[in-house]
Amino acid sequence: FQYLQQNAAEPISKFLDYITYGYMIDNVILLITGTLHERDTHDLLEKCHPLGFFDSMPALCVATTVQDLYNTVMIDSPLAAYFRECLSAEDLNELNIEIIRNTLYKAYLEDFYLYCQGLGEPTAAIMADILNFEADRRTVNITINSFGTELSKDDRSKLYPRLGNMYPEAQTRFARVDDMDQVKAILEQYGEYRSLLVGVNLNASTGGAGGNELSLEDRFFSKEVQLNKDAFEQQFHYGVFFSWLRLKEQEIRNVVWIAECISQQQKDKINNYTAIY
Amino acid sequence: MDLHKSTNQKIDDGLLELLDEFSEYQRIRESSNALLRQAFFDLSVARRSAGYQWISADMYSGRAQAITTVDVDPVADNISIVRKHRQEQCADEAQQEGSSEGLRRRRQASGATASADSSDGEKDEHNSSDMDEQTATEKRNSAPSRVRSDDPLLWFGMLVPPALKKAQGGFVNALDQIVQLAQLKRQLEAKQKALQLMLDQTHSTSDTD
Repeated sequence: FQYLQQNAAEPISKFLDYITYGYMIDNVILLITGTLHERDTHDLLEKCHPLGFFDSMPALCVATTVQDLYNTVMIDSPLAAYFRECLSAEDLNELNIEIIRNTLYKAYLEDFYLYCQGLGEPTAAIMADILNFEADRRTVNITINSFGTELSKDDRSKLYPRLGNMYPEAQTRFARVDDMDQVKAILEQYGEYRSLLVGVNLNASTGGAGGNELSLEDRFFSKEVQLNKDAFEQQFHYGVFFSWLRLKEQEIRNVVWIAECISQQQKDKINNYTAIY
Repeated sequence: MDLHKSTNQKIDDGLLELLDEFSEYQRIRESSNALLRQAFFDLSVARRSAGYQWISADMYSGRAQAITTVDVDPVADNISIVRKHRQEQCADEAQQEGSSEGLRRRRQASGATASADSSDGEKDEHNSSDMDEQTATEKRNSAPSRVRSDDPLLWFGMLVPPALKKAQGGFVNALDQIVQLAQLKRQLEAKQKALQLMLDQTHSTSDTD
């Protein structure tokens, strides 16, 4: 990837940079969280995603407040622009770190979407489908994961990306729901997601009992794989780089899933991975 | 003869009780095995959903203390679960930090002395990097936003997947059952000893007869 990046010219070089920003956000949050939990800096740096490395990353471990983080580290990093929306948070605690993480990713997703629209067809159309789906998935996952937590409904709605098929109407409704049945009722109103809900047990975790029940998470993985496979049906666009990476990550998830099923003697659930081809 | 009969009856009754308790032990053991198995599976599901780096050992402190412990009362022969409240845990952690801050102050003093005495440029650099590290450590520990919560789920963030919450519930229920198993096992061993004693007495009585 680094070889491709260094030998690429505009606009593909910028596109590849955008791909790395998502991993940079993950690395920043990993370092902050690990430091708060008193993990060793060297251990944390080894665990960071290699695609998300930037020069001032090791200095993250010194910051104690968001202002510190921005002024000493992030201001020189590619994520500086995304960080401006997080500056209202002061202390670095679990709630604020989660808000920072989701706010950064929201800003990144919106920025990436705008950039792809500027690249013209067919990249714009292909990446629009993929990024809109990603935004919708994040909206649903943030909603479901926030049930029973301290995150207020107002804060929850601020974390939703401002793109996707669910923006803005469904997001307004998602911001007010309290349980899975209400989530399902909203999803059923969208044709592309109604088909995902068929045969899904919303209360089951992935790979439910006996391996026959599917969860919403499984369906989202399948849909993501389908969209990324479709990117290879067209030629002369940049979406293939993004899709190839995402499909590789899905392969890794599948292999790890199979390994964990074997180690836990859950062989009846081995086939609950998302097949790519 | 009657005495012999009643002793045999007692042994029979004791054996039946032992077998009933053993069945109960087996039942609880199977239930706790199933709970643990499902909880570990839910943990794998949560890791797949949230990402393997987000639910891992890197997300919690190596100095984390258990909030649930087991108390063994030898007098009453009772094993019970003790769940610490948040204030108690914070007090314990503050005590630990107090003692470790003392150590840091002594290191800082020795570092400062070394920097005052040193005239070598390399030694100065080494000491200043030590000072930076200590300053960073003190800054980190004096920050008001240290993690202070009695729910281990929060180590992995606020928005954890439902599978992780389910896994936590499974582990908590399994712990209750494991403590029951330990209690039952003690009772079984005590009953077994008592029965063995009665049997030995019966055999020695019949030998003398």
